[in-house]
Amino acid sequence: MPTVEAPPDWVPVERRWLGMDRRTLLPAGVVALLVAFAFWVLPGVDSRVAVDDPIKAGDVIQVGRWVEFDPAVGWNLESGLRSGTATSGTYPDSATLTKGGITLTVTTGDFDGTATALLAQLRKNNDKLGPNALDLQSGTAATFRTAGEITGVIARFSTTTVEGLLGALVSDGRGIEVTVYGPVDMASDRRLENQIVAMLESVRLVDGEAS
Amino acid sequence: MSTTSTTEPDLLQARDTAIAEVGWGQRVSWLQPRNACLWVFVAVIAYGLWYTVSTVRTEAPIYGTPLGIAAIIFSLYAVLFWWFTTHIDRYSRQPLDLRIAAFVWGGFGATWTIAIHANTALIHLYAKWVGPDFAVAWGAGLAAPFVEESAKGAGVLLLMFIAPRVIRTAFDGFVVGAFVGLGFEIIEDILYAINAASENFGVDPVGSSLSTAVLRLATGFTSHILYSALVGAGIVYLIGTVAEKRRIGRGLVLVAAAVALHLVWDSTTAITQGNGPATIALLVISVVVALAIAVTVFHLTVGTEREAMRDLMSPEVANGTITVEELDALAGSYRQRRAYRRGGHGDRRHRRHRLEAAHDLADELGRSRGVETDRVAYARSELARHSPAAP
Repeated sequence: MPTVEAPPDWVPVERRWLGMDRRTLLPAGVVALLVAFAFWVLPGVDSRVAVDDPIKAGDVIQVGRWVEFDPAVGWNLESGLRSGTATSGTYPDSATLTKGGITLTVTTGDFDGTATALLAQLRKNNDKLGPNALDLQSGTAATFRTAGEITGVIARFSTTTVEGLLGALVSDGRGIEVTVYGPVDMASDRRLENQIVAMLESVRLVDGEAS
Repeated sequence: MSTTSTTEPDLLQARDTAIAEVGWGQRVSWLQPRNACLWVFVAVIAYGLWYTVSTVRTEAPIYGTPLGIAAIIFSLYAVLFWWFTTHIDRYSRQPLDLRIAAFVWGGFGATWTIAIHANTALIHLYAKWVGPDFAVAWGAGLAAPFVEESAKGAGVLLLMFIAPRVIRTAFDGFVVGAFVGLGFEIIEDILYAINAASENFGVDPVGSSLSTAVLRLATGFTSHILYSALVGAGIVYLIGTVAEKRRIGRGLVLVAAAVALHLVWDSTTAITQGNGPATIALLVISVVVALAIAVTVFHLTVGTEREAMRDLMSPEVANGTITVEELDALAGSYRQRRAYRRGGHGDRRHRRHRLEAAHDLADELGRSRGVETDRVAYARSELARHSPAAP
């Protein structure tokens, strides 16, 4: 009887399980488990573990190489580093604190211009978001000055579910963006509002960087 | 190697064995509904492509120009490394569709379906469990090497079972891994360039993207392409094939080497504690060590392919189609090929054509599985056309 060569990729019946080639099940299963672990398990664990890093009296947050501020005691440090704790000597360009549903983020970068120009740039960036853009109310920008003698401007914004503040400060070519947002009634909590104002006013350049 | 003391049937038998073992000239079938690996491969890439389209639709209105520039720059970069990786695969070459599949897995499957989710979650967990300073310093170094090398290696593993007649040697794994790494590198570089566009409040998105692009271009050649090549070879050793005996120890060492190189690269500032000169020195040392390891693994794995080339083409020496010197060049190293080309005393172009035509003949013989077909005959006639005696 002449032998007939099996066509490539023909799977003999005795090598099938539920119609699939048994030889391919183990590697496919290993990779499927890897994908499930990366896609669901790790992010799931991450979302269930809350950040528990409350600010203590005397803590200072450093943002990038040049900016620091005094966070309010009891707020939670979601991201960013306390001054003097960067093992690699590098501080992230952004720090985020939360409390009572309110999120405060300070971001820094190079910026040649005034605080008003930086706020205009932030508005421009926001407008590019199209349908996701925030309603940055025009004509409500107010000027303020921090304890570190940095001039800033601040504007309010709101959506149907959140309201907040967008602050822009500039000193010595360093731009600082401060974003605060929370539930629509966040301004009703005077204690939290005072803490936010105090944090804003404490923004300064790191010693030796100020002009 | 002398071929005169071996009989023609022995030589032809050795040729058939070589073709069967290394899968020379075999094609990949993409219609394998019973292959579970193919289903996983397609599903992972499908999600990655959907994620890419969603991301581009979100980012394009904001950073369309830097996105376009980064895509053009890194596409050119991809062409350069595609050519280089194809160039080193000079024996039983990987089919084009397999190389594209490896690239697509690296670029869209490994990145968006696996790595981005796991990296982000792991770095967050390091911050929560160990501390934010630890996560900033070591997070990337203790997440990316494990996640990304697994994600890319998974592609090589699936392709081994999707194309079991093609990926037969550790060198095949080395080449396929390099293409997976190339895809990963290019898409990751474009992502980094886009992320950089928002730096400094997005005032100069193109300038910020270009700065990042230049940095990535300068360092890319020793990162993902190289690491994945090591992982790819390691996986073939771990699994074993008809042509490559299973060597678990060697496979583990190669995978561990890739992870270690990646870990050091991603943790340089943490290791040197931000010391500028020490960081530069460590980066230079990392590049040199990585290249040395890659060259060593290349020589370690390429032997099987060279032996197969010798077995495949030895009958052509016996029948007078090529010379022993040409066989040594074909199955030899870069130095042997260069020595052959320079041996013609001003006839370098002619010798280069002979070598290329002999490669074509090897590919045709592999494709026909040693059977004398019209294409084999034509490939042989092309060699005759370039013979020294030809008019």
